[in-house]
Amino acid sequence: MKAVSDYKEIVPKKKWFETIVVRVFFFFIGMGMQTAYRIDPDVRKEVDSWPETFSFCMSVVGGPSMLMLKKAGSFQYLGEKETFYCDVEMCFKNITFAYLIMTGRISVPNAIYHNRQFVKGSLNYGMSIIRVMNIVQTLLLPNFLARFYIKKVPKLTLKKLVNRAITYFNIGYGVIK
Amino acid sequence: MLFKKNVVIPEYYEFFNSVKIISGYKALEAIPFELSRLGAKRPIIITDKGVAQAGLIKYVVDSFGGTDTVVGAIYDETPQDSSNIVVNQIASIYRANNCDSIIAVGGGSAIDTAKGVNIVITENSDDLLKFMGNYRLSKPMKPFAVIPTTAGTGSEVTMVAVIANPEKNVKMSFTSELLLPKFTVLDPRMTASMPSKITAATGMDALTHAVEAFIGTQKNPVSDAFAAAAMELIRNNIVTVVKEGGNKDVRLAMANASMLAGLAFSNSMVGVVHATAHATGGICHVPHGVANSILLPFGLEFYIGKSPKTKEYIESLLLHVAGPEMYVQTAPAERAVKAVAAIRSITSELNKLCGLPVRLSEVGVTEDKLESIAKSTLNDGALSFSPVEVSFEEALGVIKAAY
Amino acid sequence: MGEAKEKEVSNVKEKNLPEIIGSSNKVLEVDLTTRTSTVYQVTDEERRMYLGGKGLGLKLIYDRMPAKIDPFGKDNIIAFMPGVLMGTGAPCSGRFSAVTKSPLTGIMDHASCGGPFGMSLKTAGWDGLLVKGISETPVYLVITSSGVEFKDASHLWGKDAFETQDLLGKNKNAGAAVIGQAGENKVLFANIVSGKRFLGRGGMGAVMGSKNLKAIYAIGGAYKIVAREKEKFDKIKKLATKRINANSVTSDMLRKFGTDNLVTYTNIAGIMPVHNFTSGSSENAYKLSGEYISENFNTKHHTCKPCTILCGKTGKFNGKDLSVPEYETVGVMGSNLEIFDPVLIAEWNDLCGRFGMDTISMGGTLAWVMEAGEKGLVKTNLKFGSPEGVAEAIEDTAYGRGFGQEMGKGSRALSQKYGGEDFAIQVKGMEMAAYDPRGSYGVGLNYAVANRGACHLSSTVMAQENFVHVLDPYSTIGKHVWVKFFEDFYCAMNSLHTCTFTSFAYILENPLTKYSGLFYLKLVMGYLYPLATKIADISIYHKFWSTITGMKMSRSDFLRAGERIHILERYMNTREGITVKDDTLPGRMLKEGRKNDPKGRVVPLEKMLKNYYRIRSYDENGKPTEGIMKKLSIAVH
Ligand SMILES: NC(=O)c1ccc[n+]([C@@H]2O[C@H](COP(=O)([O-])OP(=O)(O)OC[C@H]3O[C@@H](n4cnc5c(N)ncnc54)[C@H](O)[C@@H]3O)[C@@H](O)[C@H]2O)c1
Ligand code: SF4
Ligand SMILES: [Fe+2]
Repeated sequence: MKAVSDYKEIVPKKKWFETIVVRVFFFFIGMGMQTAYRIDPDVRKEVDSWPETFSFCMSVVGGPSMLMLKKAGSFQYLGEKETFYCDVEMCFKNITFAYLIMTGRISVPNAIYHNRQFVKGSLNYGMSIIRVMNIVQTLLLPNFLARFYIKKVPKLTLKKLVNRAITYFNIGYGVIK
Repeated sequence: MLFKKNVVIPEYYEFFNSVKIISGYKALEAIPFELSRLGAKRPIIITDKGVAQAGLIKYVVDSFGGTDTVVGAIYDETPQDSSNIVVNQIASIYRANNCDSIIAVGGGSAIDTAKGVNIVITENSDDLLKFMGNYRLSKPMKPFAVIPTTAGTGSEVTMVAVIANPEKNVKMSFTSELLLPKFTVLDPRMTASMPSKITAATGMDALTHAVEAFIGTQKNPVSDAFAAAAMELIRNNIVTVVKEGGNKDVRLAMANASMLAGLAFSNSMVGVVHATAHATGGICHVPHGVANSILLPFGLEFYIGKSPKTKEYIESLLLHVAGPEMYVQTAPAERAVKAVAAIRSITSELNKLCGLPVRLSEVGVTEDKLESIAKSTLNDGALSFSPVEVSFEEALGVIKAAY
Repeated sequence: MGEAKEKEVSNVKEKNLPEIIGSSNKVLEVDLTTRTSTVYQVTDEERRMYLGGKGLGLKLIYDRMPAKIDPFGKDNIIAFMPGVLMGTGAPCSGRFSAVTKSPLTGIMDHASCGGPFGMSLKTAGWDGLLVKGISETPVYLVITSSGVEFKDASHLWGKDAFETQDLLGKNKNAGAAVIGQAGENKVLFANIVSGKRFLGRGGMGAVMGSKNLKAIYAIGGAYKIVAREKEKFDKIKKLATKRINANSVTSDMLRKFGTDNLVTYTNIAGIMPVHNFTSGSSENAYKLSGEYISENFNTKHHTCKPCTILCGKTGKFNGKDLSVPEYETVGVMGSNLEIFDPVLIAEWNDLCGRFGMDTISMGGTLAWVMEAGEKGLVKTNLKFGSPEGVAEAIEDTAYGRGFGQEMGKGSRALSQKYGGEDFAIQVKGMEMAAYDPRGSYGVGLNYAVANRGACHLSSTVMAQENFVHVLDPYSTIGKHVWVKFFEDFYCAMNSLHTCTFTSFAYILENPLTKYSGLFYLKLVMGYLYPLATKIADISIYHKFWSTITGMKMSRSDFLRAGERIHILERYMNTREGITVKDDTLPGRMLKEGRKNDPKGRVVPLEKMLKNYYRIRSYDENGKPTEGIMKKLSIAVH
């Protein structure tokens, strides 16, 4: 029989791989949103309908996050900034959920149905944010991949391809604003 | 195959409910004991003018007779669209009268307000903005009970509250398990006085909850069971309850149906019907139940044309909204259309009985408003739970069809 | 933008006036006791070493004023110092400096202001004005190109600052520096008012009050100021204007929404003070943001002149035309008191303006009283979240009535008397500006070591940490280097003198900085900081100075001059008794996390301070070493 002192605290291992993947995806989506606001009229229309200084954060409980801020005529990606206030925060309950979503194993709409995320702040802009995210994902990903993430994939056009190139350039270069 | 496999296990789902349900004749009299179990002796009663004028508060107060429970205060001025201002006002009444628990008596409006009051009191902050969203509350709440006087919203078992903030011009919505009441009392006396048109409209709201939960994205075996039971009760009682408002058995059946539908939809969520109904209500001030009742058949028709999977669910729906005979007599290919027809026949009967409208044009919606309704539909949270993606044109199509 | 151009031109283009090429180098010295004046000729050596403005003012005082004198005594000197830029029409050059010994902190105090007084003094031919002595009766000075006149001020005594200026008369070329009732009553944080702009911090108004000096009225327009190397100067001016108009911070955020646009950033970062710095953000902060205010209160430009950025604003509040409170004010008088009504804050701001009191110290003191009341240390009807009694408290403070008398001594004195020193949010006696250092470690170091006390302008690292996001706010790496760099640089800039906000444009719009991606910028600034401080482009500043004066000034000379000014000020402060133990933060910042910070972090000051002392060449007591004094050629006396 084991003695009481044999029972020790067990620390589960960190999910570092998932964390890195999610972090990279957050970064791509953030930079993608920032660029999309400048080049995609649909995104611009959605974002312009939000109030000035609107902030939006996507995060994982106890994990990585990304912060977007609408200010001074731009939609800025502020990186993994610790936020003490933001208008809307979409929070994934576990890093694994976020990982599955980012790698296309669970679609964003499904994650919402499944209650794998929750929202802090006003739900009024939720739908609009999801639409922006959908557009950004089609901008970032080839159509055969985008299919995994969103309900309806739009047609591929030359304009889309050009925009995609611009987006990738901006992401690689880290353009400010 | 006569019966389709109705119970589906989704890839993932969550279900939660912790409300004790007390249903039946003289059920109100159980309140003092239940309160004392929770250590409460001085509840505040939150209600609205209509309910107070119908004399329903007397039943509640009388039920405390012979116990040491006293009513700390009665607030009966809850408006239809409750705001943070009202909530804060009630909270100060609560504090001033040393109340220790909250009882909501009324329809969705009074119940939502009471939930808001509970947040303000528990968090000891008059700033509701801080708690907007899901899971923002963490402290154990004050003992809270709900006595519904309408049979429709199911708010007595939902963890949502919607409260307006006129200053910031937003509808603040709060979701948390902590918002659930500790218990709810369904007593037929409480709904007996409801005017027939409100009875019909709220009943249709309940039906819409059950239907949308049954075909929704998050349908699951637990919610299906509740939805099915709710639909059966509604199909058998909704017409009678409008005809014979004083019949306690049907009143109790409808109260239960509404509660069951609430259990179902609060976990599997609603879809395009509620999204369009919220938008219509928001822009043209159409009562929630009435808007749902009008839009329900059109929403279903939209789904049938869009998604084969949802169509399958709607086929099974026929069993619940029309009964087993009708279901077996109908060829599988026609079941979906028949299900919609069955719902239409209910609404048209209610239309004849009490003038429940069946078209948006009958309730003051004008043609020039349709576009803005469609636009606001797209921003409604319920839409994210719709089984199919809805574009602006499609939303407009549904609304135009119902016009 | 068009508007900005016009203003610049109108102020400079005067016909056929005698010209001052470069600078007049004449400083008028006035003694109120004897009612006499002399003229001091600034040497080229002094000019080169101390540039002008703040630096020169400090140096002149250092040579004339012994240590340990009473700030309210006749020996205290107050210096008003325009720099070489004033009058040349360079962008945002409408600002002048004042230097004196502060009654609030007991150490040296410098303030900067964009009111019309500076321009009038300068175009009257004076590069500085030193006032000492005490007048027996209320007096005001009239300064013209021919010197000073002493005039009886008994009809002005008791009038508020705006009224006093009206009574002095309107003249296109004249500008006044006046005090309100607070200065007369020697409120320790009374300020000096010029137009609707202020020499804000440290109680300079009380120094004037102690001298019985109600106002100084300068009548300028006698000279035209021209740069010695005109063509080169114009080129730089053009470049400077271009950068200001290209930069989004200066041309968009500050120009459209004023300094209040910062609310968004500070609230997100959790450095917006709430409830006397117990918490760092609020859901309601949006109501204090420049965006909200400009949308709801019909704001218009009302700025220092000349200015190209145009951050100052007035608005319609409750039907009245009032100045839009600056970020610091909405922070310390708004969120910090849990008041989120811009109308109330604008009214209190206006009250403070009229009485002539620093809003930051007033706000900080009000917050201390509210918390002390909550804790039962003092009896008061002031409560967080309630506007009740605030306006009265401000008035009582200005007039020294009742408890207001004690409030007029600031939160340090109050907490020494009643207890509660940990939550007296001040350093060296000066109340903290509206950036919580617990969410911006560099600012923590800055507050602790800044020469005049908890001043946010001595090195604005919160911008790098929380507005442009190139430095990690929760890291101590390199912060000492950045704080030192900006202190030196701002000392030099305040000696030119031009507006701090130009640095966003002049530095960031350098092509190298502008077009290098975010990652490289973060990498270079966050980790290769010694390199970054060497290459940051500040050329516009020293080129302005050298083209105007015609003297050579390299980048390193310029920063060296800044360092000299900073060290001299520090040295003078150590003579007054400042040591290492004064370089600290309020207890709350070192022991208690913000309520809404789950990690409960506090400022890790010690480590940063040690590094800072090392690169500053301070000894373990916080005194500049002989070595550095010698290196910077500061004579010890
Ligand atoms: N929290 C939730 O889950 C949820 C769900 C759906 C709807 N709602 C909210 O509920 C509200 C609608 O609720 P509702 O449909 O129950 O209506 P309601 O509460 O607004 O009541 C409608 C009217 O009927 C009167 N009334 C109610 N019961 C009566 C009775 N027994 N006898 C006589 N008159 C009576 C009331 O005085 C009122 O004038 C909406 O504001 C909606 O946002 C909440
Ligand atoms: S930017 Fe603002 S503070 Fe600077 S000079 Fe212009 S108005 Fe004055
Ligand atoms: Fe409903």
